[in-house]
Amino acid sequence: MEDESRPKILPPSLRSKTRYIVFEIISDSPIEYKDFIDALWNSTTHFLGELLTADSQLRVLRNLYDNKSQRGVIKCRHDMVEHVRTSLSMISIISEIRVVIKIDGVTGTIKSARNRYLGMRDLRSYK
Amino acid sequence: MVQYDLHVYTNRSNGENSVDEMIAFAKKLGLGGLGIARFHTQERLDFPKTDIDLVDVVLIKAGNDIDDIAREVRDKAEVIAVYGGNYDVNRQACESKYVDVLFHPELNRLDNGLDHICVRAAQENKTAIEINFREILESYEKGRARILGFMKRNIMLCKKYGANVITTSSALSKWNMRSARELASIAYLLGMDLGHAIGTTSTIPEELVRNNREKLAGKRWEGVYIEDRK
Repeated sequence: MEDESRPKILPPSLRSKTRYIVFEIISDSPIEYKDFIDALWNSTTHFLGELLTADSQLRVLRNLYDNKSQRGVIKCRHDMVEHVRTSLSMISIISEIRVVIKIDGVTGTIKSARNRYLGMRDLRSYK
Repeated sequence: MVQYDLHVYTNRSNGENSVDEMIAFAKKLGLGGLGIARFHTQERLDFPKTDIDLVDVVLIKAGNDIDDIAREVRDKAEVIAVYGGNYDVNRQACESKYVDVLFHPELNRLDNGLDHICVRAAQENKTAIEINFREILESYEKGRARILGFMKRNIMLCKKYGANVITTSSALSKWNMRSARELASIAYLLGMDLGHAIGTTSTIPEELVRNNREKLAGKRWEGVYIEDRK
């Protein structure tokens, strides 16, 4: 599969600008990651519709999701942050557990999301 | 800038959770002020001491004589709100100078519940129009699309005539509450500028509460404000 030809990565001027939304799931019982993903897609496609969901270029960063604190990062296009924020606030139940999705902040890079909101400071940042 | 949610219920009125539970959850969501609603027929509640600004919101749910009831409770309430939904009630609330907020003017209606006359009167009497988050949250597909359309039309009218808009969660339980910024994003999607949308949960309710508290303390009358000099 590795030698399969792929399109080249677009130059920065042609790429869409992205934002990273740091969220936290508040609930009484733990929520499975998969259930959250299903609820997120269900909420966005219902609230925004398929076309705007496609426009938002939504993606949840799996490796940054922490099961213990139930915090994670969603990547989306910079001009669709408010749409994604509203779609997240429309989620009220995940697998029969009442939840509130709280947004901790929005950043321009993964690094600042990790540093500022997820407490994953790089050792090199300490002097 | 304090972020307010001026419409939540506790188990002393329609709600599910106690005042303490609502306060704890509001702190978790980063809210600085909470408007705890009670009906005008109920006695004023004693609020616990907390660092969150608790506002006593009196909700008038009546078919007629809105102005008379509002005048009666004006001296006891920090914020007076009217339970909207009926066009006549909506219009009376907008035309009353004692009413601060009109809650959900489009509730259970097949139209948006307000017209240009109501909104112009609301602007003159400084009555704010509410965007109710729970109405959106608890509706689905066709119903939700209809409600969003009505809210959009109300916001368009408020923008046109300069009437105030506030966004609230109208939470019956702590799980219906949302942070102020998320409530503001709904106002933004419904047609407001982002700055004004953020103002619907911060500056507008903050100013409303401050003015009413000054009036209750005898510092402010119509057109007159007494400034403390040291």
